[in-house]
Amino acid sequence: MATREAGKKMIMLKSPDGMEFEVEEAVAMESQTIRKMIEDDCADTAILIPNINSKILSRVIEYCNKHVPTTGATGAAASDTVAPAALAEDLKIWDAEFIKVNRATRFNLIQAASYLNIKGLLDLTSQTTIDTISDNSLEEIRSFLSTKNDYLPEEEQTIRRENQWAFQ
Amino acid sequence: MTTRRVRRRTCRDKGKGKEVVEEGRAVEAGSSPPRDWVPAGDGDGGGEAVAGEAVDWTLLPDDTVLQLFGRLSYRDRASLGATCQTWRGLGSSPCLWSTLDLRAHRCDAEVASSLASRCGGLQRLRLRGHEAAVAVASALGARDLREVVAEGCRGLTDATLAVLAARHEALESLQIGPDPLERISSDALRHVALCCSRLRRLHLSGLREADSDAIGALARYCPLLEDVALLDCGTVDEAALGDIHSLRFLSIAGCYNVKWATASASWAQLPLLVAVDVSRTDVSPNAVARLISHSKTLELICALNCKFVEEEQAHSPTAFSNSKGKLVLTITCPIFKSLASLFPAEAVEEHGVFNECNWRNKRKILGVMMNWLEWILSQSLLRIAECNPYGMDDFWLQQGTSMLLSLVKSSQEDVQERAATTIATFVVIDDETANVDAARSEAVMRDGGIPLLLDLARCSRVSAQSEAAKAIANLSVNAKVAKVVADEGGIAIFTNLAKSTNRLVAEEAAGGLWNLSVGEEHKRLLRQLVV
Repeated sequence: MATREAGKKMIMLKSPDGMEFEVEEAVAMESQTIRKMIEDDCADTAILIPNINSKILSRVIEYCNKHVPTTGATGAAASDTVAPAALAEDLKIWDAEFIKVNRATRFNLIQAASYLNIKGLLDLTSQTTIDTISDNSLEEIRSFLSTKNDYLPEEEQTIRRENQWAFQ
Repeated sequence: MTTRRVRRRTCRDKGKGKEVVEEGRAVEAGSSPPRDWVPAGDGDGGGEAVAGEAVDWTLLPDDTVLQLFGRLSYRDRASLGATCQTWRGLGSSPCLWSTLDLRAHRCDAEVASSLASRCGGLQRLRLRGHEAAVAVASALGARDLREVVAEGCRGLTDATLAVLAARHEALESLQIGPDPLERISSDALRHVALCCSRLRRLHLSGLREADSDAIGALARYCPLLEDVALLDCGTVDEAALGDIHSLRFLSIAGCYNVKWATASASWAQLPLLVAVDVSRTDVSPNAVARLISHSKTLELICALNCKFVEEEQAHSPTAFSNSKGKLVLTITCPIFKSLASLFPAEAVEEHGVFNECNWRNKRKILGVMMNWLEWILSQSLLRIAECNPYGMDDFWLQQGTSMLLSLVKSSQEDVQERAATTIATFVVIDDETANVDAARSEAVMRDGGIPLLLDLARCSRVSAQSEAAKAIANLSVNAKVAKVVADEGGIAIFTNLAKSTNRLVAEEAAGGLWNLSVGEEHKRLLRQLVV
């Protein structure tokens, strides 16, 4: 995890399973939710992040750590100086590697990104899910999402009629 | 039918392949962490969740699901919404139905009426084809519709346009083109004016005539009308346009038979007029000069590909230089540089003039004007590329290409698509032999167009996908460009697009793959990816 560096303000994040993560404030503030807490002075000692376990939280922090220099507190302009294209390319490759996780983890990452309001991570996780769903049949999507079909047969008929246009 | 089944099977096979990989990783990932706290709904958590049973996706917050929906194609939205009751409810949320793009779908009366219940709050609609226009007019409902953009409506009749106007009285923006509206008469135009009194923008292409009655009706009944474009029309009553006092933006690009003396005298009196587009016409230098000297409000005259104006400029380069702060854009003037002068206080980089960030905190009208300019430029550049008139090489190489690439980055989707179409068109110098101009295609590459177009090909809009794919496919006829496309990951992107359920996208992508496969090493790469 992040080590303390001189002059950098550190924030303690606690997961509900008792793990503690010390991160730079700038990294934590990648999350709009945490940023709000810090700005509202609700973050004196440690911030408890409910409903995100340590495994997922550590991955979220890993993501924020990687992404903080380009889109961090200094704003997007900072990336203009150092070969932005190469930097973006590097991040893209890193993201692609980062998101190679099983479905449950990806789901938890979406939940976490959504709760913590981290736009980049939410985009990344959603896009991966979208890529999986795209151009698959209803049954395939159902099995991917493991949703139970809770429709009556006649309802299914209606839905099919309702949606037919999208398949033409 | 057969081809479709084949495509499906590839899809499923690919899906299975992915799962195997995922399972492999999942076991690995699941076994490593010492402790695993399980959030609500995760069931067995970590390692055991591989089969998917453990995750209940309906537990995601509504706004996250809506965001997911918003990024899917209509087809995938429909499938996702059909999985269960919860997501069906979310899938019909009004926020997902404020905009609808039917261009890639067949739309008849039956389809329109099946959509009607979800279109109560529909505000913006795009469609293609006469049949779709008839269906929308007769069966869609959507009383609150504010904007209609229709293309491919060559057969549109007065009756259909009249019904469309009568059923959608809240319309603020109506755009039909670029296919000529040969069957639309001044009567229908008058009808639109009578019904849609909130109209702000009216863009029509290829009318045979817009007479003084019709334009007079617009002036009388549409007090908010500020943006009129009558492109490639036969006769337009130029004097009557001078009666639309609310007019800020006017384009009559591609119109012939215009009486320029009358036009310039009458438009110079318009009290709010900000910009005029007379591109691709026989406008006289005198008329341009008169607009410059007589109009008190005019800031911009766009005159691309106007023979007489260019002759005058060649004759005396300073012809329009004393223009009282009014810009005159021609193909021989440095367009980027001229436009940068609109933002004097900011150090706007010349090629950044089309970047919307630079328009903020300015007079509001300037932002509106830049949006309008993007739109009319994309129209004119496409037309110029299609006709490929003699002597345009310098223009394309010196500034046309960078303008097109700026437009690909526009915030307006139709401008993006039209710019991509134009790139696909202007590099082909001989349709018969499909010969591609080396200098032009390499200019696109040099100005960073390849990653830009590949990004566009990857977005979720099928119309943008097909246009971007077409552009890259054509550019890739040039071996140097093909290499860059392959280096930028183009083959993987095209392989994906070739599996699209949209026929047009799949065809363009297949064409692109074919062009990319010319080099030996790419052929090998391609085999690996496709097999």
